[in-house]
Amino acid sequence: MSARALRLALALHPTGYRREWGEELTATFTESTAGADRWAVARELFDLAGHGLRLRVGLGSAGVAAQLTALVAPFAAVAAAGEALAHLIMLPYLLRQGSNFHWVWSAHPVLGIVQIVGLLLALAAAVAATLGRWTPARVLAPIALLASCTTGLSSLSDILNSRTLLMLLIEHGPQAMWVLFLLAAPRDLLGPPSWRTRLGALAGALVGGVIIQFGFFAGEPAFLREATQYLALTAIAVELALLVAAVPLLLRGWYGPAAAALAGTPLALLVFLTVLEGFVGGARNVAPVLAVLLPVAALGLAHRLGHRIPPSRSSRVR
Amino acid sequence: MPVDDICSPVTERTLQEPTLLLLTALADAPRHGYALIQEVSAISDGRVKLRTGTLYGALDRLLGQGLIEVVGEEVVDGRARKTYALSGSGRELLAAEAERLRRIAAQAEQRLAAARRPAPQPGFAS
Repeated sequence: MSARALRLALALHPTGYRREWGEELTATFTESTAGADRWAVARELFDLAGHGLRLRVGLGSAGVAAQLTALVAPFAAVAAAGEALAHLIMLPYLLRQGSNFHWVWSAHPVLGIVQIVGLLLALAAAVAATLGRWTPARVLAPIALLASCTTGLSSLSDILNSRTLLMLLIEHGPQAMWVLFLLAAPRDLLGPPSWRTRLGALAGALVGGVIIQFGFFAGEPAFLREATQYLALTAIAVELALLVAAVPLLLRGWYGPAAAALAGTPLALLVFLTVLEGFVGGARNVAPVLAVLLPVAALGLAHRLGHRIPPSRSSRVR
Repeated sequence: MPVDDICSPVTERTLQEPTLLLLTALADAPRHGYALIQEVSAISDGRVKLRTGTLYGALDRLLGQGLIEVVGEEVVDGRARKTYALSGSGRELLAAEAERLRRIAAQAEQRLAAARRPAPQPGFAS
């Protein structure tokens, strides 16, 4: 089983890389797993497969994209939990309002419980990330996302309905993107907790707080009220400013603005989708296109950036 | 904290622990992949266990940054295996990081010692 799984994990690496390093990866893997139990072998295989996938999509540790996701990871973990917290806070409201959430609780109480568990797991993932416990954070966060999506996923028969898809994107899109950022960060770039982790987590909590404000009315056409309109405009303006500043600064080796722009992308997307949902008649048909286009664009960008060695501003490292 | 520290690339900020451990493992002698896993585990008292994928992700990066280099290749059990060593800039960076950590440790010890010293008793002043 191990040999076949190893071949599969190696097959995930780009051909050129496999040709150059395949034998060595095999040797190191074999020595590392000698005498190990099945669970340890499985973890090694998972890690090796992850390395291959990272290289395949341009998220290898050496590239710019991976280094940006590593900077964003603490923020992403806490921001994703912020959205989960929004859903938890919304729970009594949603149950009273006879929403889809209410329907799930009446028709499938087990799914409702799974969703609550998912929200709690998201909070646990955020705590783990803040403490620098990256493995539990990266295991819990995607489970939490899947579990907290149960309301939307329970109506799978309705998935082709563009409104359902748009609502799924609005309600869980930002959380999903933040979880992907967390998973995309290479493990070797994630260290123990530091002032940077805490700063990122604090920013994530603040943005998660904004999401809470949005989340209270997510799904209603009259979502953008006057106060949140200003908030939405501010978020978009900040995101655009960061994006404009990010590219030239990134080329000179300054990562901060680019990382902040990446971290804020889910929020900007949420605002955009909500405008689409609330104001533009018929534009929700764009949702299926967006659901395909966004991941493809993100992968394309990661692939392009992934093979760039980060520029250096320092004379220490040459 | 300096703005530079917030904005600068990952390579130039305080080294992340796995990177620091890898560079330390290469400080005294060139090593191949599995030996690095063992050394990192030993240096960290078994706390950090690098997995194969994580190790090679880090090695790719350190090679790309010019902090380490491949200094040899041998065939063991029919499989080619490379040996890695610190480059000049890697050695410089590790030395700078070691000095930074030494200064922090010295400060910590100095302050702890000051806190342990008994406070002067009132009423004994002459």
